[in-house]
Order: sequence, then C-alpha cells, then structure tokens
Amino acid sequence: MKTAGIVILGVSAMLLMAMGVILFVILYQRRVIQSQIEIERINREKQQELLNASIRSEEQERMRIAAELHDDIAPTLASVKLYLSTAALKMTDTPLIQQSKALLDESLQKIRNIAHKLQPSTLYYLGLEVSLQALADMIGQSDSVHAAYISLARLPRLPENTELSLYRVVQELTHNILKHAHPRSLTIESTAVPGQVTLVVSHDGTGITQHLFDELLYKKGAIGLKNIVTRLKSIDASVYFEQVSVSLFTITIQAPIKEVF
Amino acid sequence: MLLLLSILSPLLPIIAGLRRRNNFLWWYAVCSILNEGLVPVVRRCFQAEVAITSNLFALCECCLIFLFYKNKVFPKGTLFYFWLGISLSFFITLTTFDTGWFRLNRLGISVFLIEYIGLSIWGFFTILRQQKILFLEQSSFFWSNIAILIYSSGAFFLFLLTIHIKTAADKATLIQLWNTLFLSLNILKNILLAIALSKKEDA
Repeated sequence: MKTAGIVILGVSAMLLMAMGVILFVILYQRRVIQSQIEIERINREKQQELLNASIRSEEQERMRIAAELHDDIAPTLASVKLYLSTAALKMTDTPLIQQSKALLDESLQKIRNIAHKLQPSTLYYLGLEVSLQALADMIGQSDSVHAAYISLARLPRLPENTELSLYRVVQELTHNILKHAHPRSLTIESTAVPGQVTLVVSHDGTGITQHLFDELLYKKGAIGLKNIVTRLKSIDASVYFEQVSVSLFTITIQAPIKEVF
Repeated sequence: MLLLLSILSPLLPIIAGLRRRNNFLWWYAVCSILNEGLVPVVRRCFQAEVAITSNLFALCECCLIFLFYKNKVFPKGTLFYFWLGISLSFFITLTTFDTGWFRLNRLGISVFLIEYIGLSIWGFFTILRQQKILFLEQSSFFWSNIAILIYSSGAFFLFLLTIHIKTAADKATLIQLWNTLFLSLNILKNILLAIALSKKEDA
C-alpha cells in the first residue's frame, strides 16, 4: 500500500506541476494581453489628440486667412472702389470705370464668400442649423441647382468641435456633389435624438455608393474624402453612402452628441 | 472498459485532425492506434507478452514529437538533428545491449518523457517569448503543448516507479493502479490532442 501511495502522490505531484506551468502561461499571457490593450488605448488616445490638434491648427489657419481677407483685402478693395467712384466724376471714360467698379464688386463678393466659407461666423454664434440653412441658401443661389435644408427635429447646440466638423463635412460633400455629380436638386436634412445627431445629404445626380467610397479612399488623391473621414473620426462619427433609387443618392452622417446648452 | 476507451481514444485526434494530416501529431495518433492494434497480434504470435511493438512505438513517438517541435522551438536544424540523434542512439543502444527488444525499455522511455516535458515547457516559453499567439485557447500549438506536458509528466513518474512494482508485495494492486493511471493519462492526452488538431494551424 505504501508503494501505491507513492505512485499516486508522485503522479499527482507531477500533474500538479504541469498544471502549474500551464496556469502560469495562461496568467502571464492574460497580463500581456491586458498590457497590450492598455498600450493600444494610449496609442489611440494619442492619435486622437494628434488628429484634433491638426484639425485645430487647420481651423486656426483658416480663421487667420479669413480675417486677413475680410479685414485687410476687402477694405482695401472697398477703398479702391471709392476712389474709382470719385474718379468717375472727374474723368470722361466712365464705361471703363463702371466696368472696373463692377469687377471690384464681384471681387468683393467673392472675397466675402471665401471668408465666410473659411470662417462661418454663423456657426459660432447661431449654431449648426442656421449654418446649414445658410449653406443651402448659398448653393440655391445658382440657377442650375435647387437646394433646400430641412430640419426634422430641432438641433441642440453641440460642442464647437462637433458642430465645426459636421459643418465642414457637409460643406465638403456638397462641394463634391456640385462638382462631380451634377445634380438638379440637393437636400440637406438634419435630425436629432438623445445622444445622436443625423445629417442626410441627398441629391439626384451621379452619386457614389459606400463600396465606391471605400475604393476611392484608397486611391491616390481624394484629399476631400480623406478629410471627411479624418474629421468624422475626430468626433467618433460615421458616414454611409447609399443609392436609394435610380436617381436618388443619400449620404448619411451619424454623430454621437453631448448637448452643450 | 478503460482499456477499450484507451485503445480507441487515438481515433479522436485522427478524426478531429483529418484536415490537418500534415501535422506530425496526427501521424502520432495514427501510430498510437496502430500500436494498440498490433499488441494483441504480436501477443498471439509469440504466445507471450512481448514489448517489441511498444519499443518501436516509443522510437516513432520520439521522432514524431521531435519533428512536431522542430520548426517551433529549435532555432537551428543542427541542434534538432543532434539532439534527436543522441536520444535515438541512447534508446537503441540501451535496448539492444541491456533490456533487449522483447522487453519494455522503461529507462529509455523515461528519458524520452523527460525530453518531452522539456520540449513542451520550451514550447510554452516560445509562445510567451514570441507573442505571436494572442488568444491561447484558439491556438493549436498551445493545446498540443498541454497534451504533451500533462501526458509526459504523469507517465514519467509511472515509468520511473515500475522498477519498484516488480519487487513490491502488493504487485497485483500496483499493476492495476499503474494501468488505471496510465490508461487515464492516455485518454486525456488523446482528448487534448483532438482539441489541438481541431484548431487551425497557427499563423
């Protein structure tokens, strides 16, 4: 019986040691996984910080250029216009001066538009809803496209970064649609439910589907589309391109929100 | 009942690994079932308990387990061939000049089992060092190591103590205990090998 006890004890001890080794490997690996998850989280946070910083600096640069255009070049051109008006009273070649004044008016309007695009002051003061309405109005000024903005549910004021990113994305999308899709009508819709805001840009031009969008993203160039993805990533938002019917394409943007006030 | 289960248990890894026939452990399971099948045939031929098949199986087992670990833990091919050569030479020499081929070379098998323990621990160390496998439960190599380590650890002590069984007073009880433990370990090993072979090959 003594030998039997030794056999059982010995085999048990060996098996326990084997189990100990296996347990050690499992626990060690678990620790490694946890530390890898932690490293990934830190990396993600750092990437997000870098992304936000690059977007912030881009916005600051846009604001600086807009301010230069609005506060420096526009007044200078306005002064030139004033001098031309004075000169028109003294000189005989008025048609030429009138033509110059008309060109100056056009330039001033263009500068104002560019300044507005670069720094949409309505966005800061009045929010996303009003800015999208203004964007639709601006697009609708063209005779070739009918543009409208529909607010299905009142949008609350959102964090500055979220509002700016959503506005820039819609701005980029509408710009691309007008440039490439040649639509006859374009609609921007917005709706909000607790915790989420949804923007839908629909048009009847030659649109793209999600599959094509994903393909275009990996092609050389497509800076606009890459910017859209970067902006949306910075606010944890998503975009989805869809062909609803033969002549109707939609682009849906969904962003998680925290209401500010 | 336990004996029958033990004889049939290699069928588990054979069936589980049908699509992984390039794995040496699958061939190890095939060798196991062939050995189990040949033992009664040899017994009938020689009209006695002869261990030639078990000795040959021990050699096959050594080759297949070493080959399984070849690309996984051996950094250089020369070290692998050297170690395998030494192990096989030791077993063959000991069997030929000491125990004889018709008696089970328990010492040789015990040495092999120590080597398997070392290889499986080395295998675990490789897993932890290389960090190629993130989720262990999905890894075929991890389960193979568990099978080999548990079987070798348990069987090593059993083989080591068989010398005492012959001289023990309660020989019959001890043989029964030995068989029960060894057959249980064999079944457990084959179940674990079946799990290992049912997993996809590690990248």
